[in-house]
Amino acid sequence: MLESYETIFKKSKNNPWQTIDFETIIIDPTNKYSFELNELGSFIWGQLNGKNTLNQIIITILADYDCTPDQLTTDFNSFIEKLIENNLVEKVS
Amino acid sequence: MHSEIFKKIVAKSITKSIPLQASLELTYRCNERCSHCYVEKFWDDPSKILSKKDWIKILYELREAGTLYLILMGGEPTLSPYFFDIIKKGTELGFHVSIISNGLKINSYEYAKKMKNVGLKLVTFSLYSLDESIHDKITRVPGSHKKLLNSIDFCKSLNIDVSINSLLTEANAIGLFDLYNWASDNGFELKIDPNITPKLNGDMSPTLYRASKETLLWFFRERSRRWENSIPSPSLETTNDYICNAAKGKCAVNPYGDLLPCIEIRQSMGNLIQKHFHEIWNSKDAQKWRTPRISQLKENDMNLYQFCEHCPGMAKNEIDDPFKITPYTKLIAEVKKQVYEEFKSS
Repeated sequence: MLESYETIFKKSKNNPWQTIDFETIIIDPTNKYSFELNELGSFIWGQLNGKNTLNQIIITILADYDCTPDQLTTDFNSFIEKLIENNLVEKVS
Repeated sequence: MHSEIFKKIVAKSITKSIPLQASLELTYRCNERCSHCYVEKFWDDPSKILSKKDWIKILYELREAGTLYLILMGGEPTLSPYFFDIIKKGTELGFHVSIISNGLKINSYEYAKKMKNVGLKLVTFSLYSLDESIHDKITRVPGSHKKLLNSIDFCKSLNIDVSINSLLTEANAIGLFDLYNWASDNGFELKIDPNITPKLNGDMSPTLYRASKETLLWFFRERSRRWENSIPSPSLETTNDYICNAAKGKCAVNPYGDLLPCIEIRQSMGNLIQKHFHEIWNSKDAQKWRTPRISQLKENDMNLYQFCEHCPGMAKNEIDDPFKITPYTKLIAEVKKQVYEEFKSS
């Protein structure tokens, strides 16, 4: 469960990444593993810049993408939890 | 999982000409004098060498162009005054940063730790033999072997990924299988390359160190005998395939900011201090290196070509024709084909 939507995350410097054609590849050099994000995942990844709160990111998505808050919140939470679980992001505040 | 995603992104980089990998020559300076090296002068022109600000501009433009893998090389990259700054900035921007090094400057645990702390992910060391006298004779620096093995230990103890590049020459062939065993015991990937190119100014002296046909045959036979998956096999390329990945999925930058199609093709497509990466990458000069297909090669024997690792850059440098296969590349292909047929029939 996410602690708060006011939490700010940034990308971990341990994981090189690049976005090409709206898809993102994130490398886990330690485990020789790669993660692939789709267009929406890539958008969220881009917003995890150490400045935006999770709430601000949700508001931006709702403005830019065709989805309801209920639909988005479940997927968003699950996505952020996976990033945390795999140490791909670091909590800033 | 890793390889499937990786294959997909590599395929996309080739199709869409996205420079997924960029090799950056930080300096031509070097603290070794390897007998086979293609660099002609181990010296940087002070009026042309890039500043830290220049390199950072280039990093931003490569990032925007889609580069993920940065390989810092030289000369010897650790001799650049901006070595740590470039790793740090590259890591901050999201690149996977690796280096190719002779290890001489990585002479303490603290130095290796500093590399790790700024974000370095992989060091590829140039090691020519486990025999100190053979390695030092090739590098022409007494004590270089001992220092290199210490560097490898420092990196390994810090969990920095290590891989090894070596060469197949007459001088070191005898110990290469000991090197394979040592690399395997340590969990290091080892690449052994039989290709030795002339110097950048056309001086052919490095090619004197190439392995003879007998040595090539011995090496490929012995490797195939030891490891079945290393038996040479014909590639599945067709005449419609591109000759190589130059100026498509990869590029290189020399110490003066010239954008090259790859590290082997030494023809500048434009200077990154004078022009933006996109302008050069989309220019006619870049297209020229991007489009050649196997059908354009001056080689009719496709059965032999299937074993050939033709490099347009090496051919341009050696025989001034990127579409012609050099005699030595052909010799290696003939040897590999012969070994393939021997093992196939047995």
